[in-house]
Amino acid sequence: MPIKSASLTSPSGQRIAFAVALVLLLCVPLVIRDIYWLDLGITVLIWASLATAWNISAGFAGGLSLGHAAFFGVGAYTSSLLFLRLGITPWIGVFVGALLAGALGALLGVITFRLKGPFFVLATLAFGIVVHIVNVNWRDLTRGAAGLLLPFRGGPQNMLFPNLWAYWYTGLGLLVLTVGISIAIERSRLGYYLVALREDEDAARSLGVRVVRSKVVAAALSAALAACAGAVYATFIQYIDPDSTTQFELSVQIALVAIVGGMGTTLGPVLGAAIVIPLGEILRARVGGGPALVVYGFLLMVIVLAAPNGAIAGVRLIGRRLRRLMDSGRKADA
Amino acid sequence: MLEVRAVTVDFVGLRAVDHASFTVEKGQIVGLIGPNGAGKTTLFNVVSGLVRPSSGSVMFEGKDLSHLGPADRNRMGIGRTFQVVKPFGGLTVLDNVMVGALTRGQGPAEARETARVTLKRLGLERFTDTVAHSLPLALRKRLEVARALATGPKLMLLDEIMGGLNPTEVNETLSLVQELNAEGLTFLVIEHNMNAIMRIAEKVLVLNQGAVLIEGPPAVVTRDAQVISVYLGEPIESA
Ligand SMILES: Nc1ncnc2c1ncn2[C@@H]1O[C@H](COP(=O)(O)OP(=O)(O)OP(=O)(O)O)[C@@H](O)[C@H]1O
Ligand SMILES: [Mg+2]
Repeated sequence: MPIKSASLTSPSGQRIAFAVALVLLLCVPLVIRDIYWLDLGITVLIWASLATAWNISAGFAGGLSLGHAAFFGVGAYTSSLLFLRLGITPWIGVFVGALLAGALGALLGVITFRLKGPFFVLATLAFGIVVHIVNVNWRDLTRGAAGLLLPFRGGPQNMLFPNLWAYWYTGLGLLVLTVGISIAIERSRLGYYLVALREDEDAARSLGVRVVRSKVVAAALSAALAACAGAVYATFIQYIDPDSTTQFELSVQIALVAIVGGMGTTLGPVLGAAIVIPLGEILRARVGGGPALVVYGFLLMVIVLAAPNGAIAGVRLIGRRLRRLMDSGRKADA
Repeated sequence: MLEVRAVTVDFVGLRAVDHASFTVEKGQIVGLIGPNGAGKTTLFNVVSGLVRPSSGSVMFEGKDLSHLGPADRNRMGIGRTFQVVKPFGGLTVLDNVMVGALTRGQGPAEARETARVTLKRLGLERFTDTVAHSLPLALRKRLEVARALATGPKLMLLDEIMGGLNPTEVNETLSLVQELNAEGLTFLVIEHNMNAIMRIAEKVLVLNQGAVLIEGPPAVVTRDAQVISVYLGEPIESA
């Protein structure tokens, strides 16, 4: 009697895979004691969430945004300023930041939904740069280039922890939230509408898909989740300035992480973060400075060329081959 | 049910539709014929809301559609196919059809069921999990019909869905149209296959250079000398 194994692509198999992954991730702080690696791991979790947020508007809806650092920054600054100026805990600030960024994302969506291809990209890029300039120059509010320092006071009730493992779990919570929402969108009506619009807008509209509504909702959700990542990042690093939050390079990096992993898929951006972030960090530490950037760029090029649909496509291919191998092995046994 | 009132469409330096007026009554199957470039597809685009007419208006069930986009027109009950097929190439056949069912307010599970039933009806169930862009053209045309049908339309606009079909497939398609019509669906059908149109249409409109040249029962239209010279080239035997 052949044992019916749950395939990884079946819904039940997927659920099992997610549960196993979650348990493993929950165990990480118990296994990895080294501060350096745990720190890197937390950074990966935040980047994975950020890229997942980006993927909701770019991957599903097809509009490649190069302005997402703006939403990340709005999240980081909103929760930090609320905490510093009004003493409001970042646990609440993160949601205020998400609301604000969501509104901003919706506004940007209303302005850009008509734009196609490079024009859309340019509009988001310009938007990101405007937010950065405002951030640098509105010194009364943001303290400009001087940045904001989050004083260590209060502890957990203010999302400020004395030890790294607590940040790991906060980051993991953030990732579960973003990936969970991403999966929910993918399976919902909205998810189908977004992909349909991406594939053929005229056909989608003629089937009753409302363009503005779908794209604006996606843009708002994407922005709100990016802001959540920003708020968590701020309490983790405890110092934010325009360069580390709203800069153009950051927007590029967000897109890069998702594209390397595989945009338009739920797990691609997560995988991308797990590849790109450690790669950059290890090179910085081992090679250092300019040469590190050259090697980094070169390796990214190799990855993108080797897996043009993202690393996740490569992983799936290997998975299929393995399964076929196992199947044929099982047949040989019989 | 559908009333097209003096619709004119001007593209740069070209009048694609020229004061076209006609009506389609509920329950009818109306044929729309005319030579290449006559403006048939453009007229469909006006009715479905993808192209704004330079002048004139479209009424559907007594309501003026002028200020409604394609999505709202579909939700009011106008379904259409595209002559140059527009599948959601990266999605499976089932997912393509699901999109249509979702917009009529069904949740994903219910929409999946509607999509399956629709695919079965069109004989596409074997291709349920096939990625749409790998379907041959004839089947992609059928997918166009399935998708539009899943939106639950009252009026269907079919734009040359029979091109490239063999006689058996044409017959199947015609029976399907007649079946759906018997269930209450109204049709406006663009078709180059005259024989096919003559067999199902209750009324035929002939469009030439954007204007409605003549309209009437198929038998009358075929005999009309003007049409014969404009479109048919030579009289055809009764079909
Ligand atoms: N978007 C557009 N911009 C400019 N001209 C257009 C556009 N769409 C159609 N046309 C022109 O309008 C005229 C009518 O085209 P249309 O596609 O409506 O004809 P048709 O009757 O459907 O022809 P066919 O039988 O070949 O499908 C043609 O001359 C075509 O080149
Ligand atoms: Mg045409």
